[in-house]
Amino acid sequence: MTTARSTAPGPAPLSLWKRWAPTFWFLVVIAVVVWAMTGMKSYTVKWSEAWPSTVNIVKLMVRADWPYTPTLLAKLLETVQMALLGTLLASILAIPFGFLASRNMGKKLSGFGKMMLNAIRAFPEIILAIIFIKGVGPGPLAGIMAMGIHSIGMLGKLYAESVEAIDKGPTEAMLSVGANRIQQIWFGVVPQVLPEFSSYALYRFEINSRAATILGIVGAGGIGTDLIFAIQQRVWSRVGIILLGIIVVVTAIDLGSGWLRKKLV
Amino acid sequence: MSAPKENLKARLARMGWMKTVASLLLLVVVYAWTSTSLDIKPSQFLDGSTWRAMADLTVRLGPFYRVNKCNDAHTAWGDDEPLAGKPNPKKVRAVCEQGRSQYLFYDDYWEDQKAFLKDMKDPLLDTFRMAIVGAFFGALLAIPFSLLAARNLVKWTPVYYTVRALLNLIRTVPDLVWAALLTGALGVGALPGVLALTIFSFGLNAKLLSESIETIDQGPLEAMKACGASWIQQVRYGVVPQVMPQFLAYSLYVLEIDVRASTVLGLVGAGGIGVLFNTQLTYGKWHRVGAIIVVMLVVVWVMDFVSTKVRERLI
Repeated sequence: MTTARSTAPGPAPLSLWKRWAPTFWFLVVIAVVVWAMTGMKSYTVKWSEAWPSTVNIVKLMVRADWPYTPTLLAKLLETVQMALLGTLLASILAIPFGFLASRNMGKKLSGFGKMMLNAIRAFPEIILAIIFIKGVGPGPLAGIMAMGIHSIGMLGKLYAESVEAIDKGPTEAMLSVGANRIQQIWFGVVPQVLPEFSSYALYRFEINSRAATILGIVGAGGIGTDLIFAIQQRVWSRVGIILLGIIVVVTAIDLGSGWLRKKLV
Repeated sequence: MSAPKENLKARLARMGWMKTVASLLLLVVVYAWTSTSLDIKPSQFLDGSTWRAMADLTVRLGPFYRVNKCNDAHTAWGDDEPLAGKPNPKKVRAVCEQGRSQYLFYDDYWEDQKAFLKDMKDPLLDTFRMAIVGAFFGALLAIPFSLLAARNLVKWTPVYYTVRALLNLIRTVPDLVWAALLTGALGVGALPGVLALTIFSFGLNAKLLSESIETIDQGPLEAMKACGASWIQQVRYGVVPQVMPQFLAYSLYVLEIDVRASTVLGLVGAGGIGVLFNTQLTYGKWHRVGAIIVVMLVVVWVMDFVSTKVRERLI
């Protein structure tokens, strides 16, 4: 679109629309941004006051609350465990959805399966967590269930794609020697998709370990609860060390899972 | 004597089923470890009261309210005239005096929802505005930083590694945590939300853009370098034309994610429809909470659809 350039030595001169289209779209974007900026309510921040206080907060955050470390480590472990259990739940629940939504296995039900996965994915985790808290009470279980349900959406979609990409050969060979459908799937499909399934599950674990840090904000277990309390009570040194903990854990999980995924596929 | 000894690797490869058993064992161990230390039993997933509570909530997210006790808040309002979105006291009394528990339909459900939709308009528009401004400034900021984080453009490695580390650092902090932090620092409102989204989209966009800059065709750059073009000229005529379509597509993708994120940023007080969600949640107006969830879903779907279509045309 914007790569079209009037000065390019082309055989035919560009039409008026083609020549001005980039400018037109640029102006549209600017107009939308201006609309968005001017229309926003509650612009109540006074920068002359907010800036020094922000600098002060950063200074306090850097002075991390080290005696808090044991509690922090326990909470971080809880967060990671929540992510693990949520991913485990989702990676198992997503298998039937994946097969249902794939075009070669689900047949006519594929469209329905994809629609269901889209519907599941549209619910944000945190909203699900709020709903589950009403069901099971505040605590890690609500968070685990929220992650377990929400992750089905993405995992099911990825699973379906890898089921669609399998080699038909083994299944057909088994069909020709009289294997039934279950046998075909168990011996012909599962060995082909298992490495990809586990790789996707690991990827989702990375995402869930980030999500698990925020689920506590609504009371669904993990480090988020401590973080939001520390922010509300303005204990910035504690906020600092919690942030440090989140960054270290998320980075470590990213690196570890990335390394493992390279080995798997 | 016997055949030469197989090495361990070949033996393991021969026993392919061992891998399956080992991975299943690993899953069982992970499950056992996590569930015991979080004190979660499988029975809790399947417990009747859990699902009863969930079903109750689902009904109340729709146009129904529950009556179970006579000294309930329903009758405490005591108005004979049912107000918007409130239970009808007469009906409530009729049900609860018989000592039953029952779901009742809100008499003015649709009127209330229509009125509530008007209340929703401004926060919803704010949600979009926050996402647009955040994605826009995030994209602007991403341009210089992604150039500095591209291996093929920056020969001096300290700069490259510093910028890379900074971007990774920004991306490890989830959007809601940024929003919570900024609300703590700047106070409640849309501005902390916009700033949180700006930082978040900057990290994401710069990462994606720097990766696509690293995969460009080096030919034009080298030709220009041979003719003595400066670094700026190389970027302007060698890099920008090659990555522009991707940059626009990424920006749109980031906007889509921002819209998703900005619907829930209000839960920590950072503006948008999440603030309204939180208010209705605290007041226990579940039918309105249900309406907000439906609106959120529609917004996410529409945004998803539009952005996918436009991105298909861009690339």
